[in-house]
Amino acid sequence: MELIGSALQQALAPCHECGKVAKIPLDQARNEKNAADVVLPSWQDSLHCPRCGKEVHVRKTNAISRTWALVLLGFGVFVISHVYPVLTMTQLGQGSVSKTIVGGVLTLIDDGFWGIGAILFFASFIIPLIKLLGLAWILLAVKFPSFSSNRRMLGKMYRFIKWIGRWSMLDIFVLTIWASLIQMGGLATVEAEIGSSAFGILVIITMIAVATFDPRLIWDKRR
Amino acid sequence: MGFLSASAGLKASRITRQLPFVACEHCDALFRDVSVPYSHDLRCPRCEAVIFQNREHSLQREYALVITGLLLFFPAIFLPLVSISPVGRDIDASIVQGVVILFEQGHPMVAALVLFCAIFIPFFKLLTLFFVLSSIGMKRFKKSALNLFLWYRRLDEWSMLEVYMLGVLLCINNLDGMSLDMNPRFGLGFWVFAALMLVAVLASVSLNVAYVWERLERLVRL
Repeated sequence: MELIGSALQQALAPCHECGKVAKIPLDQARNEKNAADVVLPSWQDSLHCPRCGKEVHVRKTNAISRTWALVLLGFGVFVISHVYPVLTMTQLGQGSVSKTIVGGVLTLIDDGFWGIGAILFFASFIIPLIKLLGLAWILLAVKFPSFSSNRRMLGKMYRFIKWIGRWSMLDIFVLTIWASLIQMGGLATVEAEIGSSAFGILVIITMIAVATFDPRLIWDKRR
Repeated sequence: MGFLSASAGLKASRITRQLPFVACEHCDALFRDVSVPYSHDLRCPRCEAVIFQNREHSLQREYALVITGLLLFFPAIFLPLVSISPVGRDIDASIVQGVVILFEQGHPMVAALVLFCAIFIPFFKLLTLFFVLSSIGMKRFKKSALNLFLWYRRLDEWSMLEVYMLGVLLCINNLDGMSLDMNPRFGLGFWVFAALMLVAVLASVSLNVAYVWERLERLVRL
């Protein structure tokens, strides 16, 4: 096994969809070799994957600006989803209380449900925050190499963010089960509120943001 | 079902794989003359991500898992997962019920998200995998199989059965500890759902994506 530079330098590009390594026109590769801190252009209709037929791009199209846009949007939605209540609980004879995510977690902890409170807090507050901050960190590091030079760490961070992302849906699922059980219970009702929609959108945005970024940009030569 | 026999080539042979070139999908490093021994994962020396797996895998076992998953699917989403009985009345909740109630409460966004992540996409994944494996076995419908497998890969991480499972467990735990005498217990649906989750996760994890792509490529060339 012998390292022979990057695939791009050898005029090869793995297909984003199926992973098949395709030959790319040499002059194209040479032009783009040193232009990695800007968004790499892609051939519009010239090159298709020999296996799956999808367009082959050297790097995902406009990865950096698209990911930035989604991350910034994500921060906004993160604030919205934690400011507005996610649920309203109405108990017979006790009126109704609206709770934000963090408020709900605090109530759980007050009631002695430490474990559940901690898991929900982690899944719906810490994980989205880690994802957004982590992506912003990686994007800054790609733009300013002096910001963070440990590329292997950045790559691992990206893979960790990608892996952990789906678990932030936990809050939505718990709310769904609660709402259907307690609704039927008669003694009390749990109703979803606008914050839950915002949180759902946040999960979608962050997952798409992770998928839009191209981890190979971390390793490209910088100008 | 003759196409399921080993002679149809659904089983991988246990050999060391010799690869002229491997490109790391995570850091774009290119390696020449790579050999991966049987039951080994190749890690990229530069970024430490797994870039090639020469693992034990068999499309027959995959097929068995997928069929099991499809059989378990409808009971798992319609049967009650959790039951409570406050004031002596029995109340239970299933996945589908949760979606319907969120929709009725005026949150189509959240309802749709649960519908997709916990019902549609897991089902779609099982169905496409069934189609792709059948297609490889029968050597027919190869173009559609290739396109469906593309979608399988795209939607892979949006299937969240195991996250839902954790949600159910948290709910039960919470209701159990509440002072109200709810008497929460697992419904039949819970056990079916648990089995479905195990089968689906196992099918997803044990699937050798690169191998399926190779098979599809060979089929399309024929």
